[in-house]
Amino acid sequence: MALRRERGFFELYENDPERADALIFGRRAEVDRRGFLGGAGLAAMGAFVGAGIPFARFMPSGLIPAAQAQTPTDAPKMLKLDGKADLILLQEKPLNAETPTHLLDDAVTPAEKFFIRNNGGVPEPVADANSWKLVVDGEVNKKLEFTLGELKRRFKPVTLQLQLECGGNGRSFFTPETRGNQWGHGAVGCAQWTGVPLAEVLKAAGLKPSAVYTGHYGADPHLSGDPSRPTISRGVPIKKAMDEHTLVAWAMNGKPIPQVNGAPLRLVVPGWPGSTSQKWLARIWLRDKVHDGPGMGGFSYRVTRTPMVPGGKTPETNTRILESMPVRSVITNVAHGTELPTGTRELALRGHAWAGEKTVKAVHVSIDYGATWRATEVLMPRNKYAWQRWRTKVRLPSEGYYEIWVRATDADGRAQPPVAGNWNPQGYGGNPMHRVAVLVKA
Amino acid sequence: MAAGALLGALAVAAHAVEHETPKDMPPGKGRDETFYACTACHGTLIIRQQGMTRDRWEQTFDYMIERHGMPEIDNEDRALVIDYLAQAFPPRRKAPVNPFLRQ
Repeated sequence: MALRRERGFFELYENDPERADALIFGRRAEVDRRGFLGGAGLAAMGAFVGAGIPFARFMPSGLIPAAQAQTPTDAPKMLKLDGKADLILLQEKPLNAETPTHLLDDAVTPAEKFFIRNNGGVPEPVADANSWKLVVDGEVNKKLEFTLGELKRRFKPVTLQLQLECGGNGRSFFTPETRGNQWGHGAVGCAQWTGVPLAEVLKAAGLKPSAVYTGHYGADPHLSGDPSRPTISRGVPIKKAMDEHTLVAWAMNGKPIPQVNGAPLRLVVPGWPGSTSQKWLARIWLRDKVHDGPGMGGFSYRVTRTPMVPGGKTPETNTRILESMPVRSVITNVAHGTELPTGTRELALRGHAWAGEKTVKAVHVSIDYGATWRATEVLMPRNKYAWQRWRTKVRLPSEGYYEIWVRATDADGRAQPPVAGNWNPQGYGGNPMHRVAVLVKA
Repeated sequence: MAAGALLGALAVAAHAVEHETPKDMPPGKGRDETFYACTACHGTLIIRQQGMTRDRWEQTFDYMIERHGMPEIDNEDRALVIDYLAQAFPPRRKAPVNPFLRQ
């Protein structure tokens, strides 16, 4: 039975990848731990992916070809929701769905392709958005309450392209598994947001010197049904709150925000874990200490200070709050599993790259498992915190199975690793290179 | 006995995703109890995405009580549910060689 055979395949790779290579494909690691010995193994692996593998000698030992990296029992379910594209459904309740990377090709992510990450229920839409209320209180000179209509009238709106990324983007690449939604690379989008800088609202309320952190509250109901329990409440240091790019936003791409993405009012705190960008925003509480709402403690949205053994234990004191997201890039014009027509020898590639608080200074691609890299053209961001377009062309020397790997490097010289490193109990900051399998037909 | 009581108490509550049933999870002792304990709040898809050791499932169980307000249940049912989760959803992505993790 095909299913049974494939399950055996994955179990073998889990338990001992090099032995699996030897057993299944007759492949043995060379001294430099790369590549094949023996043409029989090469042919066997080629048969498995359905084609010859031109750069097989560079393929790292124990690597499951990207074409097979998804287990057959885990074939993705697709979201069926009016106003949304075919996103990959991770959960129905709470609703969570990620954008397939080949749907992230637009320079500005359309609302229907924007990922969904919810912790609780989705509030009922309000009849009159302009009457939505936002409270600003705590360590301020004057507690303020605005309606959305007043916010629009009182402050000068700005429109910016800002990338928003789930803190758990890339979680599915950690080994062993970490707890939570198993996001690939697609819990990200870069939309055009219209709103007012949070800094202007905070200045209007007047920050006391004691204000050091924000605490955000939204209207999404807790799944337990307990109305006294906030679903999630995170915050940021005052410096990030006062950044001119941190917005209280009411429009996405010139239209009202979709209900599942936080209508009618939400924060957009670009470059930081998406959970700081509170949806259905109702209150900002200025704190005299680091905020301690649900989602601020334990191992939530935290990474380790000193590295821990993957799958092991570490005290909470060895963790810190994840602030800037790490560098990442995606290939967006070629879908994973694309078959290219016979004779194809040149392939145009493009995608986006971003790096949390930083800009991306370089993006490289490889078609030979990282043996050689080609620099791509990287455009400047439209504004700070917008993702950056990269593009190039590669030559495919023959028919067969190729993996396109992409690797971005941030302005500090930090590049994406080949694997998700810095393991932490809830799986944040996993940013390995994006791999796309293509087949040039014989 | 206690497991039956738990099942009886929770089965009357609607579960989060209407079309789901215990059969959406792999067979095993404690499946029904686990289904009704967990799906009072959320669907089964988040459970089915996970792969964890018993120890980490137990931490997750406590996390659900502390962070998300899940009602505490008696020790017998607690063990039944955690045992089920550990056997139905064990780690699948194992590190090839990890000399520091001998369990």
